[in-house]
Amino acid sequence: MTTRLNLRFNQDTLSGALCVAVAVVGLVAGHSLDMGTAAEMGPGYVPRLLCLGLLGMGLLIALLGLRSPGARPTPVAWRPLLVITGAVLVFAASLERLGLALAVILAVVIASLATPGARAREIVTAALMLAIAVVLIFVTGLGLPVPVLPALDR
Amino acid sequence: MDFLFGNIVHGLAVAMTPANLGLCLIGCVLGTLIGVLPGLGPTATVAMLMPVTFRLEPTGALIMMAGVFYGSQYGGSTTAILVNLPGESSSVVTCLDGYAMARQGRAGAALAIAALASLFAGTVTTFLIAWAGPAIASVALQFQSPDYVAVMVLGLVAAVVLAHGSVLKAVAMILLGIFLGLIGTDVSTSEQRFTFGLDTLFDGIGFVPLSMGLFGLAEIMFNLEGGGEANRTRVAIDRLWPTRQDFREATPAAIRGTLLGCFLGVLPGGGSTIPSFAAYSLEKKLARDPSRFGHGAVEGVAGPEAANNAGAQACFIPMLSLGIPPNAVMALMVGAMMIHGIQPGPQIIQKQPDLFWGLVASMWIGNAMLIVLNLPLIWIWVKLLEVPYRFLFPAVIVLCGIGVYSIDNRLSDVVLMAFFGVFGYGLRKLDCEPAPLLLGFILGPLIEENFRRSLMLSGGDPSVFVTRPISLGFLTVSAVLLAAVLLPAFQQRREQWSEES
Amino acid sequence: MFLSLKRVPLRESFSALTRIALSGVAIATVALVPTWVAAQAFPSQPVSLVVPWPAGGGSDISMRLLADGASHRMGVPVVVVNKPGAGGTVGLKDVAQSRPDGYTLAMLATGALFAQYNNPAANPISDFELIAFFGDDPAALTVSAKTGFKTVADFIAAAKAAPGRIRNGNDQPGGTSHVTASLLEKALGVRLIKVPYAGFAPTVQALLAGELDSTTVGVPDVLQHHQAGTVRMLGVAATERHFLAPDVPTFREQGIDFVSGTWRVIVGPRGIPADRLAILESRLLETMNDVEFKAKARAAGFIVAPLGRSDTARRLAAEDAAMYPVFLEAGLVKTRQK
Repeated sequence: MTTRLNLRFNQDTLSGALCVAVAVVGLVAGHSLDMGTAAEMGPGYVPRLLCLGLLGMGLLIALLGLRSPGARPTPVAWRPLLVITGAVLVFAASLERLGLALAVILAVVIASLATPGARAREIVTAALMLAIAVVLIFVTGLGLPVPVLPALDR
Repeated sequence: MDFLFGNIVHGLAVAMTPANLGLCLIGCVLGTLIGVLPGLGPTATVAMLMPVTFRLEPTGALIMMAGVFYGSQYGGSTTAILVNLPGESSSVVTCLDGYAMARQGRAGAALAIAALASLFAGTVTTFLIAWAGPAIASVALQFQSPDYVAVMVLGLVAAVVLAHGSVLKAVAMILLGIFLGLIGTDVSTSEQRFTFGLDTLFDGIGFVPLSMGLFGLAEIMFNLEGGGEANRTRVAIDRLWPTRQDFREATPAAIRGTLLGCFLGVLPGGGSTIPSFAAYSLEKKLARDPSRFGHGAVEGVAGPEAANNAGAQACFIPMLSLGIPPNAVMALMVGAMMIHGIQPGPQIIQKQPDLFWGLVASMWIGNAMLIVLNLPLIWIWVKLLEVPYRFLFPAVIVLCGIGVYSIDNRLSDVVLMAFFGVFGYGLRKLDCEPAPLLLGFILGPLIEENFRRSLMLSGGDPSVFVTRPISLGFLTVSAVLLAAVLLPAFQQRREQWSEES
Repeated sequence: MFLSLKRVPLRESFSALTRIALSGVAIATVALVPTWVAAQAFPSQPVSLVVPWPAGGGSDISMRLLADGASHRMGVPVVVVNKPGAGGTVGLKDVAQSRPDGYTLAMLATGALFAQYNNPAANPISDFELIAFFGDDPAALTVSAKTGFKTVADFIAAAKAAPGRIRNGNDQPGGTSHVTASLLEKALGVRLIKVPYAGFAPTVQALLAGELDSTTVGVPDVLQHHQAGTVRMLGVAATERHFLAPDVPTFREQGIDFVSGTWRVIVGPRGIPADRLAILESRLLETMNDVEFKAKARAAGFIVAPLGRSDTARRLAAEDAAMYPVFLEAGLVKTRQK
């Protein structure tokens, strides 16, 4: 059972599958792009050639992966993956609305949740210090055109 | 030679006025700072400096702007080495061995090698600009579309060489990178490709969100696996300075990197990225034991760092002697000249000798300043690694976010970075390397554009690629290099199969 | 200024009063009146001028010069914000969606006229208040010295002898120099190979490298090479000769009615109160008509030809009428049909 699983879900077969998937998306989404001729190539000429190449490459890698099973990928650590991504997205969502200072504090506090056993006081202190430093460097120093605090009167 | 000497003395006299020295210092300090801050690149900074240059005398303004540009090349390697974060496209390859060195507790040595290689390259290139700038520029004018295709194909072959895992996977990653590069508006027809109706993608994916996601964020996610500090084994930092052995290995690499950087940097669009990738591949090919690469080989830091600094300064050659800016920063410098009523171009050396020679001389002074500035800083950077990771990684995330935003003031770029963070984490799980993907991403669209243009101009006749000597030369080198990489890989595979059967 | 007080919306005067209260300024002194007026007067805070192109190009430099001059006239900083993307449509879209309070303006150039027909995401010009016209950057027909062409007539003769053989380098289809080349083909009655490049710099490089025979970029882009003799400007597509190249005749002087190039307009989102529009218009016109400003802009290679709101609208309508048929013929009209 495990060997068969290894066979199917090793790093090579999965990489190959990824390439095949991207190539298929490319071929389908690029279906309507004009091919043109060699002398006057349309926008679809190179993408189609490329996707066919990627498809072939993906299949080759996957098949070789089936023949000689490589390592299985290590399990995905969901907590850092989701928390870090979330921190960046919250930063993006709050930067222009709440201003740079609050966005930094929010992002730092959320990112800190990626590791277990984070201490609240430590995190808040670090977030405040980072927010001050970042505002001083980017807005005061470099003149980045971004609000620092929420715009209350506008 | 007398002529050269007189001009350099003249240039030094211009560059050594207190005002110009001060501006040079400001530019270098600022360049180092923004080079260290991920994402915030020289383009954004020089743009922010533009209003200041209104009030300055043109030579001083250009000296300061140039300082920001080459200063950022020094700073850019710092985050690459310390936290695996390429702030600039030219420091992507520095991540490979520089970061590996840092993980072995040799961050100080890596930073010192990077700084010294940059100084060497900067000095040599400055003299080259002074001595043969216009002559070199005229070589670049021999290049037509088919030749660019050939040079870039060589670059892609180099990407296969720099991979340290499976060759097949490296090729697949290059193709994937090219695909990502094709997203956006097609240069030749203005048609949208693979944008799925998203405004964000109309101009394609930005390099910085892509590379910061693939390298920076993915690295953080990977480090935090198993919670907290577990995966980042603290290594005692034994010494700050490189060993004699390091110097012996790094010196020839720095010389080769410099030459490569000078040559490739002059080509329009070349800048400092292609030279750094090419230098890395060259070093790996020449090394007696290529398996050291990716695990902290000193040459893997010295070669690319010399090449990207040489490339950065060589960019000034087409800008100054032809008035053709090969990249965004040079375009800004052309803009600064225009504000002062100076039209850059072939006559600038005769018409504005103070500006030309003053700028050239200031580059050399600036490189000296940078080394004085950067060597003591190494101690501080290495100390930074002793900050507990639970404080370091949120700071890196925030700096990445601001840096990506600052490029075009676009929030969607921050979202893209998050997406590529997840994607990069997935690639790591599958043991796929992001470096070849990035090179495919950079070169793919350029190859397509020049390839289509070549065939358009030849009326669809593909023989243009072999009838032009420059193109033929580069393609031959590519083919030889590719064969050199593929043959051992196939042999290995065959042996594996024969063993199995 | 006093006139403008009457139409300020209640909400804004309320927030201004709160601000005054918060700052602890005592009410009911004579000193209040000027403070109050200052808080009410427009503009009272920095104005951002969005340039939808990267820093360093002609658009960016001209707008930075303008922002620098306008800051003095308006009494508040005018800050250039670069928001490049999708041929200028990203930055313009941001501004079109911003609050029409007069504090967010944008530069709109020739390409926006095209984008509204080709790019589904682009805003039509009607989404903006046209505030002032900055000026034109005329294009020039420039040939490589190797071609031996000395006049536009030489060029026409060669192009007619070998239709579709003369290589003309441009930016992307719909870009300024591409549109200029298409208009040129119509005006001269010739057919060229229009080769697309990613911007003016690589186009000029290719012209110098001998990959191209001709190009239709702006005068400053080729000026030095023209003076050095490696390329030759045959004609300037303007109503009068360009001050940087007084030796080059216009097309009209050579008997061909052909005017084309880049123009730039300052716009804001639709719905800016009329009193604020009037203030912005007059401050911008004062700035651009200033002798010192004109001299500075001229030194940087820009022709400043300011127009007020109504003249700008008329000018844009004329441009639209001239260019639309070209877009249509080139198959570039994809979204909004006229």
